[in-house]
Amino acid sequence: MRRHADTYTLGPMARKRPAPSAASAASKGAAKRDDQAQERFGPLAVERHRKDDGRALILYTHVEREHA
Amino acid sequence: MTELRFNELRGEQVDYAIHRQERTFLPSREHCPLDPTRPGGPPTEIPFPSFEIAVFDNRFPAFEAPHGAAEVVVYTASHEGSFATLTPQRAEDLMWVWRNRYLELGAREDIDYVFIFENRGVEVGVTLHHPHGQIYGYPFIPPVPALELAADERLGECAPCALMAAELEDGRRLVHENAAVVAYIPYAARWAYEVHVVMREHRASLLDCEPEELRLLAAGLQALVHGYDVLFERPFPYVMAVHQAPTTSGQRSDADARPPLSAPPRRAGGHLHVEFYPPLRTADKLKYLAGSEQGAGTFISDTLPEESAVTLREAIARVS
Repeated sequence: MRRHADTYTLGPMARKRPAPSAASAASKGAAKRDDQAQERFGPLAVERHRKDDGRALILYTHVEREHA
Repeated sequence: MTELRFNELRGEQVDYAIHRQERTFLPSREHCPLDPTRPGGPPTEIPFPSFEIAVFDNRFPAFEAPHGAAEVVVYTASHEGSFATLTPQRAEDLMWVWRNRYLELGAREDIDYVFIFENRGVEVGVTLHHPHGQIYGYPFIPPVPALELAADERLGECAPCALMAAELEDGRRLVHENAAVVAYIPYAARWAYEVHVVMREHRASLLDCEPEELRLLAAGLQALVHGYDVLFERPFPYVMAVHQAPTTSGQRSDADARPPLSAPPRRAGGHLHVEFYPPLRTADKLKYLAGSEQGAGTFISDTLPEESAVTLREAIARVS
């Protein structure tokens, strides 16, 4: 039986980043796209937007249908 | 604004998010805020005419930066259906979305535990019927995950690994298996049809899973919830709770305003598994948390896990 500490080292969590500030979230206007660069995560395309009240909105779309 | 208060008598945090009193409650079909925003239709939370999976900051958050997060995960643009009726591909994609959110939220200084969950059915307090789940980023390790870490300490090994091995050896409470997950009603389940879906290999979190394991996790979860729905031939309410390793770095100072928790030492433990708590004990009877459960903290069960497992296993087999 393996102990969890043997197999998990926090990896990407080892260096934490600050929480987003309210100011950074306060862009106004129609839902704006945060970043025009193509972002991928595994089989998904990731589109980041900012809603008109500043809240984050992320759309995930499958882009590897040929491999599904 | 939200406020955490420490309940000394219980040794636990209580979250006050009084703005949630005003949150959208069972809107009419044509005013669902989780639908896409269609031309000529009312605005919704997702200002696009179509989407596959959407995640957004909860308008009525229980936690918010710089003391946590609350997100909504919309599984599909379709208002009808459920996690069970998603295509296998969409369910698999959802595992990747969970993984992405775990990675990003867990990397924040103010989040020590990323909790992915779904409430299904008005019986467990659902306020929107559109297929969706939620994610809370807690600024502390909540009591239930902390108890699981304490179980690791008590057993001297990974508790989910040990318990899964015992269930596989016994076999009577198993309800479903595939190459990556084992699903069973625990030996000491609280709920009649409580099921834990556990990764066979020790995986602390979704980040540690191979792509094939994510696919099989999605398949195992869908097999279970399909089985739930045919068990009593009705939509089966449940709370689905994804338990993973805490995301505290162990380097952040606890010398802040929050009182200390009566929890085990913060450390990187955990074993990815998904727990389901369905309140139904028969097709038309709910299990209520009453005197013994609330006042004494001791569940009284009307059913034996071994007997519930037989009927649930048969139901899952009928649809798998």
